[in-house]
This record gives sequence, C-alpha cells and structure tokens, in this order.
Amino acid sequence: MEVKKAQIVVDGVAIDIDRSNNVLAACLSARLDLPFFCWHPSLGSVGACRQCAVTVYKDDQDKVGQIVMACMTLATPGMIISLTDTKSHSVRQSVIELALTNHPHDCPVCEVGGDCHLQDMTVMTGHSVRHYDFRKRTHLNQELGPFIKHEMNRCISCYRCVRFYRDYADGTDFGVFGASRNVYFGRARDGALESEFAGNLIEVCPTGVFVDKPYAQRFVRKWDMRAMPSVCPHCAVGCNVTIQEREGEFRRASNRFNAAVNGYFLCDRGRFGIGFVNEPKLASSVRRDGLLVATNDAEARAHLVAILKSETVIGIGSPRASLESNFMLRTLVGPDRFYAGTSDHQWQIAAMAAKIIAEHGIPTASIVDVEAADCVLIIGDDPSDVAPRLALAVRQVAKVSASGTGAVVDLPDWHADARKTAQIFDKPSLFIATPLPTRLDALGADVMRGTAEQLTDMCAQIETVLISNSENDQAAELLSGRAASALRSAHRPVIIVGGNSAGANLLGLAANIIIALRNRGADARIIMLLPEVNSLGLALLQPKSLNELRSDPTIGRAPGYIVLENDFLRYLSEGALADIRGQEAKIAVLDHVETRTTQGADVTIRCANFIEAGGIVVSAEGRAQSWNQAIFSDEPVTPAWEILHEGGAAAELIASSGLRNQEAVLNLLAEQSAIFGACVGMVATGNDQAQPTPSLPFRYSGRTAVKAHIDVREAPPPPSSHPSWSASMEGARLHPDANIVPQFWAPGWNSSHALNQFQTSIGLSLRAGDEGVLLFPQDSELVRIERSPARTVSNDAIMFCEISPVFGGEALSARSAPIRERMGEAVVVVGNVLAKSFSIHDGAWVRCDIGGVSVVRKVLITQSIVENYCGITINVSDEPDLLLPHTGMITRITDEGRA
Amino acid sequence: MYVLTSLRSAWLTFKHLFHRTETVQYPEQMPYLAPRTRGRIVLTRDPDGHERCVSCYLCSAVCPCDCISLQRTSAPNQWQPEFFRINFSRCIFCGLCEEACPTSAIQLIPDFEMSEYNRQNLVYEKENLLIAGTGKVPEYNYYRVAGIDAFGKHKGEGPAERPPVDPRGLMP
Ligand code: SF4
Ligand code: SF4
Ligand code: SF4
Ligand code: SF4
Ligand code: FES
Repeated sequence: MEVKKAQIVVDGVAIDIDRSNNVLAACLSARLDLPFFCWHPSLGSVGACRQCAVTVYKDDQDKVGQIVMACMTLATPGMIISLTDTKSHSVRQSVIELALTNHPHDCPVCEVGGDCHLQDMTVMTGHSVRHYDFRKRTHLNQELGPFIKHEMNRCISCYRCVRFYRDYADGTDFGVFGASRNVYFGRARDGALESEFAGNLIEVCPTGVFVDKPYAQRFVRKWDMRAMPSVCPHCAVGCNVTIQEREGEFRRASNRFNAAVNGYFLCDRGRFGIGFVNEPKLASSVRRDGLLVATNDAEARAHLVAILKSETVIGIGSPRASLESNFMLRTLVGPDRFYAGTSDHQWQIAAMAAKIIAEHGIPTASIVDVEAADCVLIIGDDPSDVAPRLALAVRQVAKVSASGTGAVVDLPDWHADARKTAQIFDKPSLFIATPLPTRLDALGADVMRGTAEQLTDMCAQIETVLISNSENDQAAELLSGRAASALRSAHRPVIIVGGNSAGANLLGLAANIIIALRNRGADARIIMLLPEVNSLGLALLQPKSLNELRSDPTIGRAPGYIVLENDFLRYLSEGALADIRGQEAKIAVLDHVETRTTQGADVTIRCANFIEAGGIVVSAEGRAQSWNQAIFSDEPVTPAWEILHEGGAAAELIASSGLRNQEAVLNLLAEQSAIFGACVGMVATGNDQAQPTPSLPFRYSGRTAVKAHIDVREAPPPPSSHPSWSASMEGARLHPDANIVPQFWAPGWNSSHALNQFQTSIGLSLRAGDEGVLLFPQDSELVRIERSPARTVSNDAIMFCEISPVFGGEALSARSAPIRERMGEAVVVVGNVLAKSFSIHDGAWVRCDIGGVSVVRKVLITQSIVENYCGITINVSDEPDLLLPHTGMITRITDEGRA
Repeated sequence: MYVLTSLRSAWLTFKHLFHRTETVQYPEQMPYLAPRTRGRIVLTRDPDGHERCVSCYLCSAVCPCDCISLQRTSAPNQWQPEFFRINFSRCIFCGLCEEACPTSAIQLIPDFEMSEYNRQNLVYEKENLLIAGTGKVPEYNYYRVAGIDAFGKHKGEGPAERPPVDPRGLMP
C-alpha cells in the first residue's frame, strides 16, 4: 500500500498525515488527545456522536473558523485546525455532558471502571459539573448468554455495537430498538448472542454495557492484574491475546492488536476458551495394572526416566504443544521414532501444508491480506469453524470489494456508511466450493457443492485455464470457469483451502493455482486450514504418521511410549490399543489436562500449559509467535521440554548441561533445520534493554496485604523466567517506544484505546513492531506440486465429513465452562434427498456407523450439500476419533434407542 | 527571604526549650480526640443495614502502603467483598482510603489503641472491620443512587430514576 505523506497544522504544529485518512485518525496518530466515541479504527466513521469536533480555518487570516467533525473530514495537506480553541473545546464539553445526562451513577460498581473509554473522554474534555437536574432514563437488561453481561443503563447510543455486530460480523440476532432518546441495544428477546464474534462487543462498546461475564465473576480492576502478551491456543490462526491474572489466577483474555494477524478482533472460542486454564488440572501419578500407586511428581518423573532408559521408545508429538517440547521429544526418541499425535488424515493435511510452504515456496496470506484481497476462493472446508477469525476477515472481503471493482470508486475506506451503501451495487468476488454448506454462503458468494473428486477436478481445471490463458466459454456456466476469470483479473487473490472433507490432495492443487496466478504477475497467496495452534510447527518437525506406527512390526514391540500433551489413544482403534496393551508397553503422558489417554496411562506428569511457561508456536501462516509465562504462582510448573530434558539427562541420553534454556533448545533446532533460525532471536536472552519490563501495572495494589493472612511478612516477588520481563513492578516503565509492551496504557488513556498511542499510525503496526516472525521467505522459487491419485469412493456409500464446531471443535476450548454452555447439540447434517430416502426428518435421532465406531446424532436437514455426503460434528472430549472423512451408514433410532 | 524564614523557624523551635512540660496520665486520663481523628479503620453499613462496601477497589488502589486487599464475590450482580483485609502493621493512617471511597464504607475512627504483641494479629479481616452502624455518615445509601439492580432496588425505582423505557414503544 502506498502511503502518501503530507502535513496538516494542528494548533500551530505540523503533523504528518496519511492522505487517505481523516483528521481524527491523523490527530490520534500524532498522539494528540482528541476525544471520540463512534469512530473505530476498524469500523470507520459515521459521525454519529459529535464528540470529535474541531475547528477548521480557511487560511492564516481566518480567525473565526468553523466546527467540523474530525472523523468525517478528510485530512488534506495544508489544512489548519485547532483542538485547543475555546469554541471546539466547549462543543466537546457540552456533547459529553449531553451523553451523560442519563448515565447512571455506576462507576464504582461498573466492571469497566478504570478501563473505560467514557471515563477517559470525560476527563479529556474537562467536563465535571452536571447541569441536568431531571430524573434519569432507565433500561431493563437482557440475559445474553454465558459470555456477556448486559447493563443497558450505561449506553450512550454511539451505535458502535450494532455497527460491529451487524455490519462487520454479519450477525442478525442483535440490533437497535426504540426511537429518539429511548434507543435500546439488544436482542428481540433474551438469549445467547449467536455470533461467534459477540465477545468483541466488550471491547467495541466504549462504556460498560457489555461486560465479560466470566471475568465479572472473578472481578478485579484492570490495574490490579498482571498482563502478558500471548497467543491464543485454540486454532492455527494464532491471534494475539493479552492474558491477565492476579495472584496466580487467570482472570481474562482480551484482544491484543497485531496488525498482520488479528487486528482489533478475536473470536469467542479464543476469548472465552482460554478459561480452560482455571479448570481442574492433571495431577502427576503412577499406575500399575490400572491401580494408582503414587501421586507425586518426583516418582512420576523417576518412572519417565526408567521408560527413557528402555531400548525403543516411541515419542508422540502434539499439535497443541510448543515447538520446544516437540523438538525435545524428537531429540530424545530420535526422528525415526517420533510420531504425530493426530489422525492419519490430519497428519497428511499438515504434512502437505508444511511441504507447500517450506519446500514449494508458496507465499501465505495473513488476515490483512485476506481483508485486502480482491478475489477470494474457498475450497474444501468452511473457515468459520476451523479458523473463525479468518472467516471474519473473509466477511470483510465481501464488503471491501465494493470500492475496488464497483460503481463507486475513490471512496475512503473509513467512510463506513457510504461504503455500506456502495455494497448494494456490487457483488463480492467470493467463490466457495465445498461438499458441505458453509456459513459464508449467505454473503452473496458464488457457491458450488462438490464431492472430493469434483473439487479436485475443479482445481485442476482452474489451473489449466489460467495457464492456457484461454477464455473457455463452456466453463462459464461452471464455478471453475467463473472463478478462473475472476482470478485472472485479480491483483491480490487469496485461496483458502482445507483438506478436512476432501483430502490433502486439494491443498496441493490449490497451491498449483497460486503458482499459475503468480506466474501471471498477481500477488496470489494461500491459506491452508489447520486445526491446532501448532499444527504447522509439528508438521515442520516431520513426525511420522500413526499409521506407520501401526504397520511397523519392529516398533510394535516398543516397550515405552512418551505422549506429549495429546489425547493420542483417541486415534487408535480398539484393536491397536489392545496390541499396545498386550505387549505390556508403558505409556507416559505429559499433559496439563485430563484426557482419555491420561486416564489409561501408566505414568502421568503434569507439565505447564500455555500461560504457565513460555514456548513458540507456528501458525498456519508460517508465523512463529511466542507464548510467555503469564501466571506466576508460588509453585512454578515446569514446561514439558524441561521435564523431558531432565529425564533425558538422567537417562543419559543427552548431556545434562546442554539444553538448559529455551534459547539453547531453539539453537539446536535451528542447527538441524535452518527454517527455525528466526525463532532463536525471539527468545534471545541477550537483549539490549537496560532493565526488564515489569509485567505488573504500576498501580498494582494490595501487595502488603494479599497474603498477610498466611504470613504478615511479605514474601519476595516470584523470579522471572525471562530476563526481558520482571515478575514484579520493578523495571523500566512502559513507554510507547518500548520494544516490549505488556499492556497498552498511556496517560489519559486507561481503556484499551490506549493502543492508539502505541501504533506507528492508526491501524498500522506497533512502534515496537508486530509480534512474531514469518519463518519462510515469501519470495522463494515456486515448485509445482504433483497430483497424487485421488481416492476412489464407491458411489452409493454415504461419505461422512467432519464438522469441528467453533465451540469445542479443538482439543481445549470444550474444557472451559462458558464454552461448554454454548456448545450446540451434536448433529449430522444430511441433504434432503438422502433424508427422504432414509425417511428421516429434521430433529430426528440417528445412529451413524462410521468405520467401526457408532455415534448418536441429531439430524439437521439442508438443501445445500453434495449428494451422498453428510457432515457430522465431532466430539473431542468423549468420543474416539471417527477417522473422517469416512464412509458409513445412518440408521434411524427411537428416543428409547437413544437412551 | 529564605534566610529569614529559616531563622524564624529556628527561633520558634528554640523557644520550646523553655515551655512547661506537659504530662498526660494516659490511659487513666483520656485525651479528647475529634471525630475526624484518623485512627482505626472500620467498614460501615448503609441506613438499611447492608454492607456499604461495593468492592470497587478504589481504597486499595489509593493506599500508599498497598495494605488493603479485597476480592469481589463471584455471585452475579452482587458487589460485595468476598474478603476484605487490611494489614495494620503497614497502615500509616493517612486516610486516603476514606477519601477515595465512593460509598463512605471505609472510615477512620478516633480509636487508636490497636497495639499487639504479635504482628500477625494486626492483619484484620472483614469480620474484624465491619461495624453494625453507619459511622460518621448517617444518611448516604449508594445503592439507592446507583443504576444497577441491587438489594431490592430495581431498575427505575431509585429516587432520581424514571421507570424503564419500553423499547418497543413508538412515542418519542
Ligand atoms: S461505563 Fe464508564 S463512566 Fe459509565 S459507569 Fe461504567 S465506568 Fe463509569
Ligand atoms: S451499547 Fe455501547 S456500543 Fe452500543 S450504542 Fe451503547 S454505548 Fe455504544
Ligand atoms: S480460536 Fe483461532 S480465530 Fe479464534 S481467537 Fe483463537 S486463534 Fe483467533
Ligand atoms: S489509612 Fe492510608 S495507609 Fe491506611 S489503609 Fe487507608 S490508605 Fe492505606
Ligand atoms: S467520533 Fe466523530 S462523530 Fe463520533
């Protein structure tokens, strides 16, 4: 993007502007204090609240000027404006006084007090005395589900919530009711907000109307919580989050801006799923013949050493454990005995994704690239479930394309209302080709339903058309033809591809389209949908698949298994399980949550979860980002790699001194595989900071009383695990130019809007630089992927494909209480033709027999699904893996049969 | 100028050498302590008898010694402390907590006889701090003027509130 620099004069001082932006954004970028409510960096301007009034002067001679709304005024070079003149100042003061006429006297009992944009703006305008002497308007609250608490009295009618919920996230069950001063923001009736992005209302609303409910139940003020940057552990998008805790107890997760990844928004799986860390954790234990014989950590670790000493040890890696832990396990057992703890199908997809990025040099797209794309093709799976934040970005494509290709050109992208109108004239350049219905179908996209074979053919056709450069007239009726011609004229196309339903093959074919497009000169990029936070990181370590483990007779006699943070028994059939059991192998599991595997294991060892110790994970984009220790309890928990290192040293597999810290582990990894070189720098201890950055806010209270009931003498603060951070309040104070920012706060900016002060320019990267490093150069040579023979499926069998729901679809979120409440019923999605032939109706109960496993599901009938395909929701907590996609059978059952 | 005031201070201090010595027979003879004397801290109740503290965390934030610690209950919509602890071995009786308190819950009273042999006994919990009455502020009842539903005051029932609006009504 070209940034044209020019300057405007604000109160006699010249500031730089990005010519395409408005005066408000320009002032905030220059770190000037100008109050606002309805403008939001991502939602744009509508000029509704009248809070951002400034005076504009015609020229030097003009002493009167005129009041304009800064957010609705394009910043033009040479403009002269004033923020400090009495006129605009008094306008801003009276506007906020009006907004507060009905505002309740709630700050002490308001969850956002101290973290409130309205408070900040009130102080900024200097308003202090209320002249309105009448009674206040009141509102009844609604029950909005387990995520969000509603306190409608606090609303100042800025309309940000509806603009986010309806216009940005395309939610339909929330809106504005009433008229004039009585407007009400809520649902038609009580009930959980349906959009999986509803949690963003908490941060979008400038007041305390929408409150994080789980946080409100363990409430402390913002200034009383430690804050640390981290990465959401719930999917491979790798959104950045700020983790806040007090006294060793996790309190809340909120969005952490990363210009290249999540921007200003998170999904609810991330925001509320992280609560799993407060649920009961795995305890270290030793079992003999199924009976518990020890429950202490030392004994469990001694058993781990014994297993490591035995001749052949199999290591099962994990897509939800850090790179360090997986690599340490691989080092101990050897690359030949290092297996991926995922189903074979998932292994194939992840391995293919790793190959495409690492060996074939295909550039990946970030969320920003998706939002800026002029053509998006979704193949195989619905990103709404697997990568929710990505789906939110796709939703913007449908809107953004209005300016690029449509009737209205030259519309500034912050001009929200005008753009909304412009959408009417335009059809988004969005193509969807999947077997199952997607939630993005409704965006006005061009949709095709196809079997795995049809999808692979389609991809090959698109590639051929693009290479041959021919306008294939017959193809115009097919999606492949339309997509090909749209892709051909696109400058920044993005292909989102998932192999869950149609196989890993599809990823390679999509990559070939990218190559064809790039050869034509377009900046084409790919996003591959992967299920877990470190799926790509694990795949890059090249584990073998469990299938190989099953079929290898020599390994069948392995006496020991070490399973890393993984429910690995889920992926083994009863037979394979019996095999392992039969040969009296010992299974040791390192994990932090209880799973079926930990229950069946001989040794369980409690290791740190993602907020108890640091680690690096690689997102599907190929971006390495770090988890940081965010919780400091009296008994620190060791990360898995450290436990393994200790065990390996005791078993004399590795030198005890070698891999003491993260940096040493990553150094060794980088030596073995150069792609990880950039990771070393992320944890390098030799930082140039004179002092560590404190992770506690400077107004952290109660330090001399919080533990005084145990001992009146104060204990020293916990040690920090990393030299860049201090676990106490000591160290160099937070500064907008600091290179490490635990949380965003600036004088006068107590709410999350303080972020403005830390960005290079509104909406762009942090001054400190965006978190994470892309591991792969985005300009390497492209190598075409050879198409492997497709699977053949007999035509009359029913093909089951996986639906991994937003809530509870991956390994950890289902463990968080509010997420559990929002998990829908397990369903099987059946086409109406198939339903008729089985004479089942919507809502009926059926048994699905899929490859030896039978599960019970409720039927959901859809019009839009490819013939003989069914979608089935998976249940990661209570059922074995269904080895999807797989053929199977549906049988109707009665209610009694269900029980 | 500065020299003069310094000399004046020195002179005033010097004069004290010749003052009559005052001895008060404490504790037989109790000194008069004005009601605003900053001594032992109590948590008071509102005129309806409810705990006044809404656990807003302002006293703990303002305390220069960081000797107040509390946690709000987890019960939804209840703003009361689950625990409220003051470590009096750290308190300097500055009274800032009282000034910060928006509900007049925390108050400093003239009692100063709090000595203990064991420092641990200077840690006071909510049970030790809570008194039965309203303390120095007899009238104030925060819940009556706040906008939330609390202690039987529902939306629109406060003295300065109109009844809740009907969002489906069409009247302006
Ligand atoms: S929304 Fe802000 S100003 Fe309003 S009561 Fe809550 S903290 Fe106070
Ligand atoms: S609920 Fe919040 S975001 Fe919505 S209009 Fe009211 S103040 Fe604005
Ligand atoms: S689950 Fe995925 S999309 Fe949602 S917040 Fe986490 S990383 Fe982002
Ligand atoms: S009187 Fe001062 S030192 Fe004592 S608790 Fe109150 S604020 Fe803290
Ligand atoms: S922010 Fe400019 S009018 Fe609301």
